[in-house]
Amino acid sequence: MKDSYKRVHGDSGQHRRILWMALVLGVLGFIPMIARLYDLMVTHYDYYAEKALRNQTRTTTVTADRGILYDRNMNILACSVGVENIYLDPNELKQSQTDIPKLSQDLAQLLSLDAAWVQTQATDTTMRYKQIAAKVDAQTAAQVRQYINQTNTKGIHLEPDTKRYYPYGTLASQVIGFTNASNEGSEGIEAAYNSYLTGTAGQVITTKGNNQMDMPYSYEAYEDATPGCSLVLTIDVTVQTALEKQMRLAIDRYDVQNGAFGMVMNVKTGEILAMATLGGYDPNAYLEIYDPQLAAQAEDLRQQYLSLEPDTDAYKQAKQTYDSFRSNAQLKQWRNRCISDGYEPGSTFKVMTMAAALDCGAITLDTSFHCAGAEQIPGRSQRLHCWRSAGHGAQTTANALQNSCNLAFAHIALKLGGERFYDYVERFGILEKTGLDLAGESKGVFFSKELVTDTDKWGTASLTSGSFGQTFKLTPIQLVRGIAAVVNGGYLIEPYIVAEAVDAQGNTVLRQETTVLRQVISQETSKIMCTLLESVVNEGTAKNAKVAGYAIGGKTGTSEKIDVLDASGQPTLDKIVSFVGVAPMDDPEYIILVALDTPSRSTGIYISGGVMAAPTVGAVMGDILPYLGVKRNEPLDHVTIPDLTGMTKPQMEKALKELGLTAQIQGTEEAVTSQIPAAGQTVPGNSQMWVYFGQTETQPQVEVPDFTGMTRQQAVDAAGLLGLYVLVTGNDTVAPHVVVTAQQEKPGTLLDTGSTVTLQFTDIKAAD
Amino acid sequence: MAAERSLYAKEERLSRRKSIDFPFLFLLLLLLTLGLGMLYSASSAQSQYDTHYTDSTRYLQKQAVCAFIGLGAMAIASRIPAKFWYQMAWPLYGISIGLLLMVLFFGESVNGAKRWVNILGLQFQPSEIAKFTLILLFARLTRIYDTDAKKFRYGVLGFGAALLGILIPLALEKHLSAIMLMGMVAVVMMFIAGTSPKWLLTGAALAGLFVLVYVSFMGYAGDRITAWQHPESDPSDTGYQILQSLYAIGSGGLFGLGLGKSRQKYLYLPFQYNDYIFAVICEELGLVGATAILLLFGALILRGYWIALRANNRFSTVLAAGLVTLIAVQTLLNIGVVTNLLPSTGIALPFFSYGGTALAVNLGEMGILLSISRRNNAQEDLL
Repeated sequence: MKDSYKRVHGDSGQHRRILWMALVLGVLGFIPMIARLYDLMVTHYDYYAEKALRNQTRTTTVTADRGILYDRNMNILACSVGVENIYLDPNELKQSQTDIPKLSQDLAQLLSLDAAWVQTQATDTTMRYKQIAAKVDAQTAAQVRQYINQTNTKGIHLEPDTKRYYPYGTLASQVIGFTNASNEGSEGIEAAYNSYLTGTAGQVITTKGNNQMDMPYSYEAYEDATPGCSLVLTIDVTVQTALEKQMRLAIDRYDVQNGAFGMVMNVKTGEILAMATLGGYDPNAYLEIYDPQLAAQAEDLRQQYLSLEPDTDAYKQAKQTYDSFRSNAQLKQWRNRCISDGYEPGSTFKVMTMAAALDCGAITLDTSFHCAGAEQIPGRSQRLHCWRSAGHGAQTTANALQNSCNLAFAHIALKLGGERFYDYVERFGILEKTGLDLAGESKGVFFSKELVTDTDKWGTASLTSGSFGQTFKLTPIQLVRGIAAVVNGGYLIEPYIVAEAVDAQGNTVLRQETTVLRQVISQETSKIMCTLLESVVNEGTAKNAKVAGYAIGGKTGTSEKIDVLDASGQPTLDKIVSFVGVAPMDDPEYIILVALDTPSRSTGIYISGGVMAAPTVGAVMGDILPYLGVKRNEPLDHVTIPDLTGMTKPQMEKALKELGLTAQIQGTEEAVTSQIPAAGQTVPGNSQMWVYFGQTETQPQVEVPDFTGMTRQQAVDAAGLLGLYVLVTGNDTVAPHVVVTAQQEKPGTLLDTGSTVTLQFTDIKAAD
Repeated sequence: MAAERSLYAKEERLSRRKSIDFPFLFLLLLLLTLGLGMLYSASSAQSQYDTHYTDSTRYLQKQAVCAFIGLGAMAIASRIPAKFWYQMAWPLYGISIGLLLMVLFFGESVNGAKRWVNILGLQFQPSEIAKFTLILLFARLTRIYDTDAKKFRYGVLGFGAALLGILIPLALEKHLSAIMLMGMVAVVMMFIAGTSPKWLLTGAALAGLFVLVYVSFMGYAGDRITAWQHPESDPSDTGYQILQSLYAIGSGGLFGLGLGKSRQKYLYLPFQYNDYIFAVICEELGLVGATAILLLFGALILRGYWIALRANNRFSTVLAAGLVTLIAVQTLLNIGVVTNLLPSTGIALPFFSYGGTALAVNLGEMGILLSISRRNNAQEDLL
């Protein structure tokens, strides 16, 4: 034991050294530490406290509720519903040593995703936020939550989001538009009124632990979101539905190749009641392609690039082809053709030409025109042919419009002159946008002023063609507004589609009212034009548009799409057939345009506005005018069956005589016990009914036959055999070429004897 | 020899009879209690997170078990005469080198570092044991007379060889913090043992040079230096740890957010319940509480050196001083790192930081100090 295990006394050197170390390590060493703590915790307290707070707080944006879209009767067109996004935190998954392949499998199954794709998302640790599913419904979200709890997985998160819901699906889809993935309005009203609808986002500032840990000692600060304004549209769901229904029927009936567009506007106020572009989409799933043909082509292109080796140039190219094809198809179906696309209006434009000529006195109602089928018009290099090669012969001004005679209009244009023509066109608003409150309006393409006014230099081709609506383009809304000015007393108005914006508290923050821009023609001219337009329906090319009981007017149009070329570079001669109808003619309220783009030649039906578009508009009017409360201006030649029960024979005969009905009497008792048809039914005048005096009525049901193609006489006979009455709509002329083209009661339907069938008659030879 | 033997026998009797140093024990138990309390607070959030909000005491439970084992070890050690350790110095040193080598070959990784071994189901860090055996061997190697210690042979060569025996396996483990800690403890012990300060200064200079070269060649260590001096330059990566620590400390202010109310412990501050527990203490207890704890450590250290001074032989003196130095250096280095006075290294705060082996070994070592404190009482009797 000679080393250190020995007692040593009085070793002052070691004593001193230990005291030194005690001083250094037990006292001095702590001084800089405490000084440093003082510096951090007292001197720089504010700095670190602020840093710590910022470190521990999360500012979450609270999206404001997007406003609701209502139609004019407060039917909901668009609203937002709560959904959830699901995202992964790959770092957290890694830290918690999650079984990624299994997780990917499970999530893929739960959310119908590709497991391999989920796995790549889950392993991308460069990000802390990897969204794997957007806007899933509450049920799916609940399943994911359950999965998280059951498996105790850390790193799967859900966050609330909203999804726009459009209860009416495809109805008025291009007008309403849709919101994109980040809830911003795209297209239509959603886009045009996005700032009204969005509101102001709020904030929640929360102290929260890292990795989403809850923290008991936390505070939250709220800054409320201001919900967006709700909008009340001028659109009427009932009118919109009727318009789209009739347009869709027309598309089927005439095998229309390229969709259709149409609208209903109040001619006095400019309110748009309906606006439709068929060949549309469902905004609830706006990315899908709805045209079956385009969808099939897109699928082919997709299969093509999928069949290639990924990451090769060919693959990329094929994928790009697919992507651009798809996005073109989407843009096409989202497009609101009523405001965005110019088209050649054809004869419907003649309304404005004639109004201008009458208004400035270039012609009067007594001006006469002669049509020989073709004529060499001064200033035109080629002979001008009328659509009717046989010619219309001698015509009055009214005849010119009724016949839609191009030669007459060429002469009207010459009388009017370029200056005045251009001036009126400008004042009818054809050179400007209408100012409709929707995104994406364009303004068509009209001639330069010089081209129509300087006839010495440019000839009269533009002037004369322009007068009957050819070789220039305008938008459907421009046409409708112009013709509205013709019939409403001469006032050019600004159309609108949003009546008011109401904030969450119910305060109106925006109210749109009728804006009259200028008077284009005099009230007198307007009155005359109304009479002329009515005569077009009653006597002219638009007889097929007739609606029983209403005085309607309008003008047909058929235009060739001269700028659409086929593969060999020749014009395809595809046609747009259209009709603009106005009702009621004694005091016009509504204007309706329907245009069908490219009816197929294969149906064998004569392609013209008169044959195809006029009955469509007539049918729309038949559907909506009673609903809109438009007065019938002439008593129907149909009568409503009175209740005869309890009447004596003379009483009964008197009652029926007043209505122009006859009766076949059955039985011998004193008073009427029953009758066919029942009280309240509508039947044509001069019909015969069955009246029972005691004897039990026999009222077998009959099957509705197919009336299509029958003339009026054939149809009435066929109906009479079955004890049915015929109600005529459309063309009421009795002629061999006016036949049934549609019937309200489908063939095969069972009806009581004495019921009425409503048949649509169309002049299948009507032109223009 | 006979006289000596009887003297040992008498000492041994006295050691059983005479009481331990109660002020030291009091300070120690106070720190241990505070340590467990703060460990619970600092680890509760992590525990909840790890157990999906079912248990906030996961870490406290493990630590408490080790504390009980440590207290048992302390009670036993306080009754083992210093002679036993004198005799065991060399064998234990050998065993600990063996264990360190085991780590190299059969070690287990925790958090990416391979520093644990598993013997008979018992998982522990051999470096904790190596620290103790090095101190023990240094005490054993201390010469009785200063004149001997001044000699290069005794004052430098012996200690140096003993130190290298431990440092080389640690260097192979890349256990930088343990190397630093042992180097510093070794220098202090050699100073106390009487090694000439000029050798120590030379040694310190050489170590400094080595660190410089090491830093310039090892990019990873270089990053640590940048993160130390400019933590805000990369707040999300290399500077993250230290910034989170500074936020915790600074936001504590004078009186703190209140016991248990740390916010940074909610997974913002990494290692919040082991190496960086002092930052949570500052956040919750403020400058007042943190200073109080530092003063307790200071008092424990001073009382420990007081025990060393009063030990009845040179081995016990140096052993006691070495063990106190180990606690002191760990404490100062830990606080220095947490407050960013020093670049970051993984050094735990004794009695506070989570870590079962360290706590148990530390308490056992304190038991040896208590045993030595009995002897200095005895010494007074003998005088």
